[in-house]
Amino acid sequence: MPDKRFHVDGRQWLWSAHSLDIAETCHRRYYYEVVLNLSTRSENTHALFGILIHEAVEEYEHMINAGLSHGAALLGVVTEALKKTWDRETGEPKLQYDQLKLLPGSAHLKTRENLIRTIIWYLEDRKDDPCVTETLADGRAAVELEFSFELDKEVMLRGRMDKIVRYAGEPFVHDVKTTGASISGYYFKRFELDMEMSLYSLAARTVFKSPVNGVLIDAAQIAVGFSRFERAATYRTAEQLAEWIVDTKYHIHMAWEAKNKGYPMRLSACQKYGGCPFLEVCRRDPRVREYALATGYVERDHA
Amino acid sequence: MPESIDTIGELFARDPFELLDKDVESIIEYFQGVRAQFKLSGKGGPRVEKPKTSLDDLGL
Repeated sequence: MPDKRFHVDGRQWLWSAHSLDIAETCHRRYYYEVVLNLSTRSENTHALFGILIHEAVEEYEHMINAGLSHGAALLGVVTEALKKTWDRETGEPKLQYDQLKLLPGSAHLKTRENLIRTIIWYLEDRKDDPCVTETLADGRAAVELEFSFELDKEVMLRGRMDKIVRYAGEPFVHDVKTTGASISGYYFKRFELDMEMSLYSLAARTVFKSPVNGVLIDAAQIAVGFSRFERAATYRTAEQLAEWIVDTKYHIHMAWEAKNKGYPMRLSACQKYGGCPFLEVCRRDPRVREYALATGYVERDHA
Repeated sequence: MPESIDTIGELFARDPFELLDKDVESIIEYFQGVRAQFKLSGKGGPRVEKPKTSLDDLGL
């Protein structure tokens, strides 16, 4: 079945922040991760953990808006999270430490118990949040905002924002990030030039007509014995976003061109951010890479 | 209110579709209790200056 993200000639036309980010990082990784839609089990774990946190926060807000108390909403959200992390076919919990400990990096922290703890602590922390959800021009509450818009005649950008809020008198897109690393000013600095944050800022302004200043990020550090939360904003001016559009078009065209050149590797990116997940493939002789892909990788759950 | 982490371990190992509200409430209370202890230890929440414990600490 043809992948609907691509033109018939194989060029990608529907782009998310993730695929843009990967295409800009390395064209070989883009081929493996976006075109072939492969990932490591470790990456799938991080993605699942993040999605479950996002869903819990959304469900909590729905319940509070429906008139439930904090305690009742928390009960509902935790019950749902427990059910979502239960494999009914095997009768076993998902995100078990015994399996995660075999994965590289901080995946061993993304256990079911740590997920439930993080949800409870985060919602306790934010139950009297001064953030107020904005109302869109059409009168809807600015929550669960799926978007897609034309970058040019051949490219659509798509994504999904949690919500648009007003914080300290200013409008922001709101996002939650989880990490195994300590949260500091250094951690938040990475978002100043982050692809996803720029895309959210642009989409809020162009699609939802909300004059946001940038993105307000709630970061959750997941550690062995605790979860810790910090909040910071990353800003985008109209000029920065205009520059981002020009650069993004360039990177998309380069990714299209890379197809004709066999998706060249960018060796300077191999060791960044703890190492590329496809390092084990690229370092091998080209004749055995297909075998390495078939044995060490799985289809991404979330394209 | 569960008395030990073993109780919580048992609840986590059970099919969540068969858990009662009071079971899930026990899990929530357990983690709330852990958080309260964690905050008391000074590792979580806003940083609080430690109480002075001696005249030396007070600079006297």
